Amino acid sequence: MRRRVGVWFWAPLGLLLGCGGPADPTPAPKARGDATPGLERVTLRLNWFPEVEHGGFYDALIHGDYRAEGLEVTIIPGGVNTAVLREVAAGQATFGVENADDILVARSKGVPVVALMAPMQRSPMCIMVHESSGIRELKDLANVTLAMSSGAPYSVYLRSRVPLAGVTVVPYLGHIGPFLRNPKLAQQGYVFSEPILAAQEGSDPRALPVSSIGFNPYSSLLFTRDALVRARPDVVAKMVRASIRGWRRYIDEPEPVNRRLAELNTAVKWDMLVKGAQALKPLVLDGLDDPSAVGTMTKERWQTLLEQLEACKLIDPPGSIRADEAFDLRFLGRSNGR
Amino acid sequence: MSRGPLLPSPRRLAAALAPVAGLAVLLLLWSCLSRLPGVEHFLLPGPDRVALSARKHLPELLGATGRTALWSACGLVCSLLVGGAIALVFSWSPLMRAAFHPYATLLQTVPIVAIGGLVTQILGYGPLDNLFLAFFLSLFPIIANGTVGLTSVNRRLLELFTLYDASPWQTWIKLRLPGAVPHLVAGAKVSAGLSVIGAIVGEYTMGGITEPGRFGLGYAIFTAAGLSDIDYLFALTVASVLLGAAFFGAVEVIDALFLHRWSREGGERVER
Repeated sequence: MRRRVGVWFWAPLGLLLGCGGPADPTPAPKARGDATPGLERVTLRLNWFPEVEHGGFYDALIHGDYRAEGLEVTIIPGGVNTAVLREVAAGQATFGVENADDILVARSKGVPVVALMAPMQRSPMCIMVHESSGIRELKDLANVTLAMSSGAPYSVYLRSRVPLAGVTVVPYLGHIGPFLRNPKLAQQGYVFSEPILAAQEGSDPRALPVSSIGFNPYSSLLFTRDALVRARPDVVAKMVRASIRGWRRYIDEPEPVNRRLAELNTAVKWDMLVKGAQALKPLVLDGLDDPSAVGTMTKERWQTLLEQLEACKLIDPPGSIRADEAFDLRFLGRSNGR
Repeated sequence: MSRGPLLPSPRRLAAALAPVAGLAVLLLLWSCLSRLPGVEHFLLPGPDRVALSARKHLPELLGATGRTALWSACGLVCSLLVGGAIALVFSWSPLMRAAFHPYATLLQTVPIVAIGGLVTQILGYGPLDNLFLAFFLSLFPIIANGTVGLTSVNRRLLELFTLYDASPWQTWIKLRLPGAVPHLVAGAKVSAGLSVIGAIVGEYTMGGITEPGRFGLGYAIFTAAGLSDIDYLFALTVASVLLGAAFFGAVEVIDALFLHRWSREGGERVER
């Protein structure tokens, strides 16, 4: 349908309502309902409406992995203007889901968040073109109108790497209507979402992954605030362990979660969930020797991403952060193979 | 209004300085709030951080503010013209008014997000979208106030015009139009702020940048938020607020300079 950059317009309002967030690092006691005795309540804030990119977290929830670890997890769906990074940093939500590039950029601006596990080894971000355009690879992208969020990191990187001759960049309006109508239009998307939707609408989409030109941030990362890692490593470890279990199960048996997602997000059709989950699996397993390593992260990948963002002048000032402060491998357990 | 003495009296001086002192108090309050424990700089940056960020991004900030100001101003002028014309029609024809005025109210309640795609499809990508939304949002207060102004005539004055056998044309030019001015000015004051909001929200929901770098406040806000640049986000917010205030002030100045004669109640004469 639409794709965002993790953008927060109503931030000023949000802070008025939410300022003075708890400074103590105990998990946010914001979830409603009766707590089951003995379970610790935590919240997980998504960066978007519930879709297959959040599947593993829902899997851990509905199959009881979180409860088995002693956590009462409430998943709070996001939306178009969700300020996940700041909400989690301020302690309004205990954990959040966001992509690696956004985490590094936010960290360089002094937002103290740290990534814990990486459900998607390969970034789903793509540029979707019409098959009829004859464009086969991103480096050949030329002579089209390109609808994308031009301030987003992937977009800045794309423009620094591809000449984009004859390309007019226009804003992405959040839906694929213009793409369906205009054979000269290309647009941003997630490989398991917009191209599948466009094909269902009878169009001829071709997805050109941005990872193919080297920009490949971990996606749908589980993250939390620095203070929680320091104060409650036990809670963090439980959350990571259970989430990994959920993700491993989801890529093999997505159906139970897809049923839940269909209830939660009525904008997504069943077909899209089925095909989306299929398309998601190779992204989760990309480059892993062993499926049990789901969620793993490497310092090299983070370092590469940081250097790319610095080259794009998105880390301000350059050198203000180190790659290894933005993630923590200690909680990955068996998944931390490398 | 009589002119004051050459040297301001202490009371006048105090009145003139009061807003400055008020601003200082507000800035101080903001600064204190931002330093409270638990208030993180990425939730509420202090005025010092915001000012530094504004200075760092100054050319971009001014350019964006200027473009948004241009779109808002064009939108506002359009709604004055179109809204004024519609108000005229409504005041001429009670039937038209009865038929369409209730629906003009609905202009207020159309969710912008819903029509954004439609507007872009009709007008294409570009600043025209933002201008249109500035127009769209600021239209209703002009229609509503203009209609009230043109239809509510001082009955005794109307009788006087009839008594002197004034033509309908004369009644319009000399009685109804001048009588509507204060209402229109009040409408324009409301619309001034709305036009700025329209231009910003328009750019935010529909975009409108077809040339790299030539964006307004809406896009700049969008990007600053996406890149977690909260200091700059606040600087842009302050710029938006100041722009709205400047528009409001501009309407007041125009009123004072050119419309003063009629802005007083009922178009009474003002001695000079």
